[in-house]
Amino acid sequence: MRRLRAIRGVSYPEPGKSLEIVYEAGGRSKLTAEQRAQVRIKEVAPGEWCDDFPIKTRDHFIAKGAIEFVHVEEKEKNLARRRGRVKGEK
Amino acid sequence: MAGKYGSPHGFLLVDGYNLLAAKLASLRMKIIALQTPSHGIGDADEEHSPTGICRAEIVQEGGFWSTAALNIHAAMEGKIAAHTPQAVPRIVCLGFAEQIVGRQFSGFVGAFQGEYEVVAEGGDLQKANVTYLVTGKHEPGQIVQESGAQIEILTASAETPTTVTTAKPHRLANGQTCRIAGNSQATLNADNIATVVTPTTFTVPVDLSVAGAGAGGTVIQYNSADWDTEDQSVDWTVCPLNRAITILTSSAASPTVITTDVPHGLTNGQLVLIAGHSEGDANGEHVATVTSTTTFTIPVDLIAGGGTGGTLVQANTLAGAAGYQQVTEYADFDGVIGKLRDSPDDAAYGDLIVFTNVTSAPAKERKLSVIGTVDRYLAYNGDVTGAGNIIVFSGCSRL
Repeated sequence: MRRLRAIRGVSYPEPGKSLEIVYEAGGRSKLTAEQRAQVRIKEVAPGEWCDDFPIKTRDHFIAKGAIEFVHVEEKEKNLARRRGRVKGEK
Repeated sequence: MAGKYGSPHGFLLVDGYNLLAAKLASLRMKIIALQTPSHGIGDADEEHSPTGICRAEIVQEGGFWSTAALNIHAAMEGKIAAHTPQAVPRIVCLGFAEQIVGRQFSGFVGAFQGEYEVVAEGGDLQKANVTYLVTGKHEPGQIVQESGAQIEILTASAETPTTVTTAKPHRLANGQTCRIAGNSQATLNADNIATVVTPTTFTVPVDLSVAGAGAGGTVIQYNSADWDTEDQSVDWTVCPLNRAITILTSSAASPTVITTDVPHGLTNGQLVLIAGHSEGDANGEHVATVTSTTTFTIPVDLIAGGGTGGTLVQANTLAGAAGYQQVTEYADFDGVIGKLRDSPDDAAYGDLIVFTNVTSAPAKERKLSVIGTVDRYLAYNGDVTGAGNIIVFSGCSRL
């Protein structure tokens, strides 16, 4: 399974209504006080998952090294392999 | 810088100290690119070559010196001791267009030397002139986090909650903590939570209905919980440091070739924002592929016909950034981590520069970004641990 993980701290509107409001306004700095009250911002610390990162800028943030795709099962398997706990492997 | 600014608009922060004197007669800055003689035996003419080092001369004239904590007296008493020999590089942030998010500032880091000249004249209060010399880097940039400016209070209404009216925009955010001092009604002189009514009025939960209206004093905004400035982000495309270049033509080709009237100064792969061009498809943000100093291509199909006119500005930069942070007031927190963040679309932000955890004031830091690409929008994020308050300045210089 592929998951998205933050390498550096990132912040973005929650998907759905919050993201729609921000995009419609043209950015977080252009929100009215009323719109701002409706928008929920997600703060993700380095090392935490951010699978719902906005698709529009996802590739840009990956290219900048701010977030990354992680193959979770493989990672877990690798960890287990390093510990010598994978069945059928020496 | 757009507009005109007067003497109240200057600020000078050195290593977390506010070194701007009160009632200053003048504040000047001069930047000199240093050169060294490079001629030798056999040369007929004198030669000089640039060393790559700048010297900044900052002069305050005719000021009354403030004895407030972390102001010029404290600094001159020995904390910075600018008039003694010293090897410690100082971090200086200077501005002439007021401390407002998005305005320009000049960042300096380098050896710091000062001259202190006391001026006592008959029939006049004692004043002094100070000259600072900073030899090292000069990095112009934009203010991303303004430190608490003292805004003059005109009145506080005789009601509950009282409505405070300021002489100029207070720039408080709803729910932000502000410190009122020097008002004629002593009960108002405390830390209060502001509810913003208009740019020059706000209410605080203080009952002046019996005591009567208050007058005078100042209000200072500061931060007492996690905060960010993403609702007032700084847009690089409208910064005066980002010069608008006139477009002459776009070619009838795919990709179209943009020709400018002067060198565009773009780097291969940099984003440009084009506006006002006759062919609408060329307007907006595009990745530039540089073909000469006055031409570049953008991935737009204009085979049907090229266009003319319009302007372009950079929409990001690719050479990294230097972040400046100066903490002039700090109390009680267990720590505060400041971060400069950038965003390509003003919606999703990522950490660009994470400053060292601050645990006291004065504190200062200049830190370089790890990555080269600095996106169009910048903001500041303050992450606090514990309870307390802090006043912090931060700016970002794109390299």
